[in-house]
Amino acid sequence: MNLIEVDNLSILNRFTGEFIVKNLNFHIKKHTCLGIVGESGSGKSMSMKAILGLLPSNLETTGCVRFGTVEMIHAEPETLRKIRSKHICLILQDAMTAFDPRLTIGKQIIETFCENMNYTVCEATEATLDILKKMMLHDPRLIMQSYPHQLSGGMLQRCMIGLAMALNPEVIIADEPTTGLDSINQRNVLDEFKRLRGEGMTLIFISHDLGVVRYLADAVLVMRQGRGIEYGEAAQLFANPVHPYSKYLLDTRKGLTKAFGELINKGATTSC
Amino acid sequence: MQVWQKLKQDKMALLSLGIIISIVVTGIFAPFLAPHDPLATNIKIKFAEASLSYPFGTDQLGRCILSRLIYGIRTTVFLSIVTMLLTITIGVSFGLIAGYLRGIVGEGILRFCDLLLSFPSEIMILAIVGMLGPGIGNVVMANIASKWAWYTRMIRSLVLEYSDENYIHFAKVAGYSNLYILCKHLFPAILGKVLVLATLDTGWVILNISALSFLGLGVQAPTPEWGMMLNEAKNIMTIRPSLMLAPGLAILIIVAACNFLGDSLRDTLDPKHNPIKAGMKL
Amino acid sequence: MLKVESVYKSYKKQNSVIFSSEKQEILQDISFEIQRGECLGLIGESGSGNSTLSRLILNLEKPDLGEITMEGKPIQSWLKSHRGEMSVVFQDYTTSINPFFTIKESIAEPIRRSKFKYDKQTIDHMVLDLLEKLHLSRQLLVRHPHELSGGQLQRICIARAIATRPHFIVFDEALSSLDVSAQTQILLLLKQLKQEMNMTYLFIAHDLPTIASLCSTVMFLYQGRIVEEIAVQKLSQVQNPYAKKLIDSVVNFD
Repeated sequence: MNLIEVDNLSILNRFTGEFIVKNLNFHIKKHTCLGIVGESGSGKSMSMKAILGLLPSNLETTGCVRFGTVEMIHAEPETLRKIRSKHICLILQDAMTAFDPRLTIGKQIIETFCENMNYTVCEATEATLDILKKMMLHDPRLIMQSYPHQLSGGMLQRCMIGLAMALNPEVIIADEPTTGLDSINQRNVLDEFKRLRGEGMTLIFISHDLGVVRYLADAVLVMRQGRGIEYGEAAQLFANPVHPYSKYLLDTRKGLTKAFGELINKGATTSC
Repeated sequence: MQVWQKLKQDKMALLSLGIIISIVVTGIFAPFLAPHDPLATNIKIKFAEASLSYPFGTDQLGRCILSRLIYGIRTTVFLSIVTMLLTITIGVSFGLIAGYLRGIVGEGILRFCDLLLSFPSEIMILAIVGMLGPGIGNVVMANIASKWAWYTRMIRSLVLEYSDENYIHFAKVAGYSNLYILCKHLFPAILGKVLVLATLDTGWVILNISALSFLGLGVQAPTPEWGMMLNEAKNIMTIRPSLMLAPGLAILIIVAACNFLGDSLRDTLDPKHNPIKAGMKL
Repeated sequence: MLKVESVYKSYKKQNSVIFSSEKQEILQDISFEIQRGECLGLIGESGSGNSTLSRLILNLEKPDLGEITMEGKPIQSWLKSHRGEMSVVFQDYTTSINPFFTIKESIAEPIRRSKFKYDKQTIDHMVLDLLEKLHLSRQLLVRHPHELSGGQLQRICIARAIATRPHFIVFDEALSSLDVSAQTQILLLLKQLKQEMNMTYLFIAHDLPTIASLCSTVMFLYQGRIVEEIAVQKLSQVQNPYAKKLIDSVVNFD
């Protein structure tokens, strides 16, 4: 059964009459990972926010979005809030602004745990240390005592991802979670996501990096300027993209790592 | 100008601006607009009701209230503007220096400001006027002395915030002189915030000058000043409470107009603020 | 050209008690050289000190110990006498341009403030030239920064950086905030510009493939120390375990 179904999702700016997203169609089966790819401005983040009811009031959402049996677009705010806290977790793109600058990281994560999982403060502290260690952050205790502006963007991102994972929702929507991370951390985060997927988590992974999407996704949706360009199984799409835009994205990505790949392979062949 | 375009769309701002400008113009042309001499007393017609020749009636000495209000603009409003301008000039200059140069100079200025700010401003004004004696000049000086340090601190923290922006870093790497960076990059950035603070504070200054005159420490009789008029009306509150209305309302109107204008200025001076496009940015 | 010798930099630990002298070492014993015309890539984890190092090289901060010299002179005095010959492109393009300036003013500013005095017409020509080089439309000239997309803005920053024909440019994670197609286009551009204008680059990034396609040498920075410096051609022969781990963890795409 499809966990999330999106039919003809459109987002309209009431003041300018422009469509930010038009007629988007996709669905996600339980325990699978959907990768959404596209350049910046293609509407990827906006569509996710629309599903969760997080868009500002000047943007009008039309169409049909179903989470299980719940219809999301015209749902009551209280219903949406319950869903957002327990069932669907959204990891935002800009980690720096997702944390309250006035509180320490530790306080915020513990607060989230106590709110959502009904932990005691002790249990929450343990859980926090656990996720910070899992995210390969040195000195978890120091990080818990630090304020957001004292940590680098990469560290904050990992804190957010760790927190989202630990909340154990049914669906995690991750918006560009590995942008800005170096390869080692990126690999760590991706492996964590892979492990979660193996344990049954449903994932929506938004990225402009095809490499990262290919590593994780079962299905892929390519977006451009607010429209769905191509949608299908990952293996199929990466092997034989149909739409010229998908081909262009793939070729561009290949081009970026071509030089690197050649250097490594050259070394591999000469050393053996 | 783009700012003017945006301001035009804000009805409240236009209204406030209109009120302030008309009050200022009235004050400038007071001799032509006031129906009577504000200092001319005529006991025979004291406490007169509003009439054609005396639109707001007369006070306890038979002086025309409307004329006193109009001439009072010159004292109350103009004094406040002068005070504000001087306070801002001093506060901004020191704030820019303290924020940009930091080091010993910056720290020194900051500590001195901290010292001044440890005195409650009302007490400080009273103390200065008490020491120097009542009078308009001293009132202005007292107001400036009590407020410039606050501006310096505000501006300094703004400068610190903006100094960390990448375009300032680029300017430093490109070798622009410190003075150029201060004037061309930092000052315009903080100007918007300064203007907002200034308009909001103008209300405070007007109230202060009026309060001092109310207490008898500022402008001396018989010079018309709105606070003074309140003071005189207070003495005969039991006989004629309506005499407090005119100056009280006048103060209320101009302070409110300044506050609303300040609010609107804050929005319009932000280059990103576009009332129609707000929300498209995501 | 650029020489960094035994540079150390530390900051006071932020959470420590007042008056305590606990310091956090960010950079330790950094030494390297960049020759004219070279492109050196610097790679390190975020938080490992690469931004601090770039700030030291740009003379925005001073090292605690050690020396940074350019063409033999200390960087401070070199910058004063060679105004406009060093430039920088930052990662965060949203704060890299004064929001009150138009694009035209932003690009023209370094030209106007340079040692050489140009008249208005020449400056206008130069600005248009730069726009063309970076494949940007003239219509952008009257706009403000917040009206442009990320890729466009970063290209404006590059245009501004090369406006004074500098010899040395520091790219501090300049491509990290852009999407893949913008990255590809700008990488190509940077290669062309480097050849055309014979510039020297210090390219700080956390993405190895990007460095591999642009730079001739790469330096690995780990926990504040340089752990390996190697020619890009010999990348497969790295010795240091951190560098090896970094190379192995790059998500393959072929």
